[in-house]
Amino acid sequence: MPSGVDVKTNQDVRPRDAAGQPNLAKLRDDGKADAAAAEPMFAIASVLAGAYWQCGVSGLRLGLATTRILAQGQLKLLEYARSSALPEFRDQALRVVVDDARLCLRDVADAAFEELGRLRSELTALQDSARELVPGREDTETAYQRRWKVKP
Amino acid sequence: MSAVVQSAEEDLPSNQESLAAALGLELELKRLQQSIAAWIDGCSKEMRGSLKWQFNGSAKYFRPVTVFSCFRATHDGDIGEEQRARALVVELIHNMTLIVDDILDQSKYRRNALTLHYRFGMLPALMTSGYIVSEAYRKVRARPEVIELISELIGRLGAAECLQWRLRSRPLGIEDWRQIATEDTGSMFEVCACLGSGDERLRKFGQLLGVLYHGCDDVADVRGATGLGGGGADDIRDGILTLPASIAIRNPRVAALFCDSAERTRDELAAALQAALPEAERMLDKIAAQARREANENAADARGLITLVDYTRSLSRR
Repeated sequence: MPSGVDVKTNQDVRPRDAAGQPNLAKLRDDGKADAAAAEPMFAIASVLAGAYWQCGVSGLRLGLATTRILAQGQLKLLEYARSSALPEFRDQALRVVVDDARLCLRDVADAAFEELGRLRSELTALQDSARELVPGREDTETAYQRRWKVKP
Repeated sequence: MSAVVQSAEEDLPSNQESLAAALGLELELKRLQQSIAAWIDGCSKEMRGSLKWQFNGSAKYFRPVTVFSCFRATHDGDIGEEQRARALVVELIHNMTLIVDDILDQSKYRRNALTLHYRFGMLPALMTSGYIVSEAYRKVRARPEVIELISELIGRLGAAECLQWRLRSRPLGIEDWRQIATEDTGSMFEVCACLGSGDERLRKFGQLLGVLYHGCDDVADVRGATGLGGGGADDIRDGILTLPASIAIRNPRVAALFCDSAERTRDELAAALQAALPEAERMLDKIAAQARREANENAADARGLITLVDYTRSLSRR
C-alpha cells in the first residue's frame, strides 16, 4: 500500500452515538404533525399529477386531430396524383394541390391553437383548485376606510 | 367556464337595428350617435361639413356592437365611458377606411348617398380621412394600450390593401383568400374584440368573426344581395380574389377567365362564381362553427357573441 494514503481503520468507523439515534417517541409525535402537514402536500402533488395527465391527454388529442387532418390531406393528394394523369387535370394539379396542402396546414395550426386554449383553461382550473388549498382570511369588511391621515 | 351556447338561427335578428335590440345595445348605439354628433360639433369649422356628411349616413355600427358585445362577454359590470370611448374610436377609424376605399374604388354612392369625394372633392375627402385619424388618436391619448391597438389596425389594413392589389387578377387559392380576409376585415374585428375584452382572450374570435364577415360579403356580392351593400361586378372587373373566386379558379378554364380582364368574358366568369357558391357556403359554415367554439371557450357569457356570429353568417343568404 502506498504511504501517505489515509486509510480508515475500524476504530474510525464508529457506530452512531446516542445523539445520532432517532428519538422514537418524538418521531411518533412528529408523525401526527407530518400527517396533518402532508395532507395539503398530497393535494398539491395530486394537482401536479393532474396537470401532467391533462398535458398527456392534450398531446394525445392534438396528435389524433393532426393525424386525421394530415391523413385527409394525403388522401386528397393521392386523388390528385391519380387524376393528374388525365390531360385536363394536368394544368390545375400543382396549383390546387399546393392550395389544399396550405389549407391542410392551416387546419393543423388551428387545431393546435384550439387545443392549446383548451389545455390552458384546464390548467387554469387546476391552478384555481391549488389556490384553494391555502386557507384565506374571510374579508368581512365591505366599506373601505382610510387608516392613515392624509398629509395636510 | 360557462355552459356551451348553441346557435339559435330561427331567432336571428333580421337587420342591424334588430341585432342591436337582440343584444340589448340600442341605448348604447344612441349614445354613440350622440357622442359622434358632439365630437363633430367640437371639430374645426372647416371640417364639420364633410364630417357631418360622412357620419350622417345609415351606419351599421357593427364594429362598436362587437366592442360592446366582447366587453359584456368578459365582464360583469355595465358598459361605461371607457368602452364608449373605445367604440367611438373604432367607428372613427372605420369611417376613415371607408373614405379611402371609396376614393380607391371610385365609388359614387355609399349608404344611398354620394360618397365624400364625390360630394366635396378629392382633396377635402383625403384631408377629412387624415383629420379623423388625428382625432381618433387625440381621443385615446391617455390610453397607451388603445393607441397600440389602433396603430396595429391601421398598419395591417394598409398592408392588406397593398397585398390585395398586388395579388389582383392572379389565380391564387383559397388559403390566399383566407390570408387577405384575415388581414383586411379580420384585423378590424380582432382589434374590436381586444378593445372590448380589454385583453387578448377574444382576439381569435374577433379574427374569425371578421373573416366570416368578409366571406359573407363576398358571397352576398355574387348573389347580388343587398344586406351588406356590396357589388360583385366591381370585384370581377378588378380581378379581386373573393371567396367564390378562389374556389371557382381551381378550374383552369375559369382561372384563365379570371386573369383575362376583357369585358366579353365577365358573364362567363360570373356564372362560374355562382357555381362556386355552395362550396363557399360550406366554408363559411366551418368558419362560423370555429368562431362559436372560440366564443364558448374564452368568454364567461358567450350568448351575445354567438348571436353576432349567427347574424353575420346569415348575411350571405340575404
